[in-house]
Amino acid sequence: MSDAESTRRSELVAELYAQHGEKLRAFLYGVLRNVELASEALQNTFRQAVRALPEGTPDGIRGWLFRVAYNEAMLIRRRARVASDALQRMVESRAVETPGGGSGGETAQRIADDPLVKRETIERVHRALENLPRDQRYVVEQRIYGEKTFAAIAEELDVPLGTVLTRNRLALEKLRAALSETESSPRE
Amino acid sequence: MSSDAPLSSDDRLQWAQRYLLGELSSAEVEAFETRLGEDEELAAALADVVLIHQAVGDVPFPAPLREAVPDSRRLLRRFGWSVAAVAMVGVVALVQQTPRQVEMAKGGLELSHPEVLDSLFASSADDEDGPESMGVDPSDDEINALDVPDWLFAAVEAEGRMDDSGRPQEEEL
Repeated sequence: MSDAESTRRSELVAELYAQHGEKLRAFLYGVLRNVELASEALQNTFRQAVRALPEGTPDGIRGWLFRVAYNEAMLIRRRARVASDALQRMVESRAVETPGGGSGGETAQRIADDPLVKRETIERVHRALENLPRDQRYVVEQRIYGEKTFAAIAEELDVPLGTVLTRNRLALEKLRAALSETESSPRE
Repeated sequence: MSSDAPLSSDDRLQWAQRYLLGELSSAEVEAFETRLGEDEELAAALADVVLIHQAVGDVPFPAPLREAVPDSRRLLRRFGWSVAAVAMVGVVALVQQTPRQVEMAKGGLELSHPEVLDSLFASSADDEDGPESMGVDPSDDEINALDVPDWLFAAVEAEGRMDDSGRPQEEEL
């Protein structure tokens, strides 16, 4: 690869990172449920991009990045599982009691503690949340912030479960639109 | 969820949210993750759901939502608060009474002994029939603040200044 080609590719990757980095990191967090592992997978993804970024349209490249990110996440997971199994064997062989530890999934609260989202994204989602019809907003907040099940919310509001699910779906669509707004807005 | 059934944008969001919240069965998780590697839109939906959850989780609980609590529950909450306030004032009044007054008031109950008072406090602290059993959220600011009105404190102080016959004691000079 010539110097010029290398520079051009680095610039392209940097641009892709600015464009898709936040979303890819969130995706990786969704799969791995761990900020450090998600960051590691993200780095590996862009390392691959520098080495072997395919030619194509931006949309095609986004798909490629998601696939690479997914494969990286699965790789890390397998590695973590192997390490965890080895640790478990070691622990069992020494008959040492370990504390309860976490379950596979992490709570929404844990997600809220992790700095995955840019401040401006949060502000846009906050605004979108405030603009939601009150019934939709209530469902979203009780589900995400209050960590209530949809069934519990339906019971509390005395409405059918389907109504609560519909409100949640409509709200998610609107909040998602606020995220897209962030992406299409000019960068400072 | 089958790994090859067509999904709409809405479906993707809902599945992604349920996946994130750990609401899928292990078979569904497997199908979801298999699909995640092939369906770019599903991967993007998962990313968006994570971002939404992060952003919403950052939102302080908004005041207007409290209005969504049914009126009956709000009344119950106020009632619980009032009961708690009156009970507290009662205990304060009890403590301020002389041992003799307590014995008279309680028909000879030996509240003059400090250990009896201690156990009274201890039993009220251990009492499981707290505000929660009345449908009152114990973390509620209204409860925690226990904003006892001034007139109630004034009444307690006046009670403390009364002699055995219920007449106001003369001020000490």
